[in-house]
Amino acid sequence: MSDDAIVIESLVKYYDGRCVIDGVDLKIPRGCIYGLLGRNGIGKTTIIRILLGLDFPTRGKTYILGEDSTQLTNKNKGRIGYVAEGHNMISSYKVSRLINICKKLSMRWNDEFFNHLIEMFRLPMERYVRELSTGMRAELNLALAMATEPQLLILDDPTLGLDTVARRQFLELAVDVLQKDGRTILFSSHILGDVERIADRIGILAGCKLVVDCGLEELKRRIKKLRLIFEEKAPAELHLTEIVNQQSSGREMTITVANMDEQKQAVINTLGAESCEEIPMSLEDIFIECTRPKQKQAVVKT
Amino acid sequence: MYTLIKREIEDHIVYFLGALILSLFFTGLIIARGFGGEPGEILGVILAALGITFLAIATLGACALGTSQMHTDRNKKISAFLSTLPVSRNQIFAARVISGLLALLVLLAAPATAVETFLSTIRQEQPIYQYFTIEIFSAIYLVGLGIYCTGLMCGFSSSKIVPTLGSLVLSVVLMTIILIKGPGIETSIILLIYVSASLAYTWRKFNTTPFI
Repeated sequence: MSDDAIVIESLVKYYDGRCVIDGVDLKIPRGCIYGLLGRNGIGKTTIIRILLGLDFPTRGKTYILGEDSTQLTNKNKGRIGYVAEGHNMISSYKVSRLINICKKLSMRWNDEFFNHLIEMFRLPMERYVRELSTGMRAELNLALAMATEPQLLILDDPTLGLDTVARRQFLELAVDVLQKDGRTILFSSHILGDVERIADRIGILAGCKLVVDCGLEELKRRIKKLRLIFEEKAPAELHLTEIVNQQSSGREMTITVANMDEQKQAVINTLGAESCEEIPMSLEDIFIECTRPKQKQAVVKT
Repeated sequence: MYTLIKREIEDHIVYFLGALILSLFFTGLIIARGFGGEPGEILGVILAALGITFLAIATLGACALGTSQMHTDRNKKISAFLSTLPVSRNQIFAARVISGLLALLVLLAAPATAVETFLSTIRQEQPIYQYFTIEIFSAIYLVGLGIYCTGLMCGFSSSKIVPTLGSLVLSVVLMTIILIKGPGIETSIILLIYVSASLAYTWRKFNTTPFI
């Protein structure tokens, strides 16, 4: 059995002649909480849909729990819990009927845990799914995914539409699920605080590519933002590799560099700046730097 | 599989109820007129009743059921949801087709039994009716199935006009085949080929189309 819950090899996807994903490689080890970040429409959902066999790659291969995504067996599907973006369930069904169908079709079903979730979320069983609020649909979707005790939980922007309290409850539940042996979570979101709270590894999609794929702490360590003040006008260009972003204005130059090391620091020192200070970066700052439309394609991977 | 078939039936219960009502109506007609009138008149009534049943299947029932199953699926993203559960696309498709077969059985089983019961009483006098029930009802069943498959084939589209018009045109073509050629082995072979081809096409399309 492979040590990786998810393997993506040179994934390429085109929609109507437009490239959405261009050569993404990714491995998510078992037991990892992986936060996949990216701006809206960048391809996070597409990657997840290809992984689940709902869509097909233009080129490349994806494997989930050791099986090719395009030929997933029911046995492996039964080990995967999925909370879809927008929580598209069968809207014309009553909640009770949807639950009944999911229960009958699932290979494992933890009734006790599911009832606990339903009680906690106060979901009305006799209402139609279409009558539920976005938050309630998210909770129902989450409860359905969790009840199957999945080895791999795929959450595609799951907290979208949830209020702050529900979002916190959801995150606690996700961590609770992970505490059981060997569970893996692939968590796509644009709410960076959520990802920062629970993920131990981060991937950032930008410009059709995966530009970041490493541990959260390591990411913060390896991406540095520096403010350089010059005696006179700051140089317009800086010849350094792996620059994520660079801006010059008057005497000030701000640069964000990936994989900062002594060599790069030495190059920066040769510029003769009057002062050079490091600006602390949160995950949100790193995300913004990496996903700027004109950002240079520096890659941070381990 | 049982859950998937049950889901299909429950989702399209109107069609099943419609088939049952039609079936009971024509069965009642066959019993009332068949056992009460003169043999010559009786057969005429039976044939007329079967003709109407056939038209009902062709224009309303089977075609609408097939179209509705696929169109609803696509619009309400039913398969997209189901296929995230331990269910394969093949199983979803098979359950759908089985439910269609069952709907046709609901429509035709009772009238076929009534006709066969009646014919068994006159068969010794008129041996020409030896295989009458099998020939007529298998032809009607295959036409119904063909039209149902046409509905499935045309229904897997995001547009409403294309599936409706497409399935109606193809249904008319199919109906004319049986009206011109009449029931028999040749008609059955043509219909079987059509059913297989349209099912294979729809199955392939269902398996290779991304679930949105």
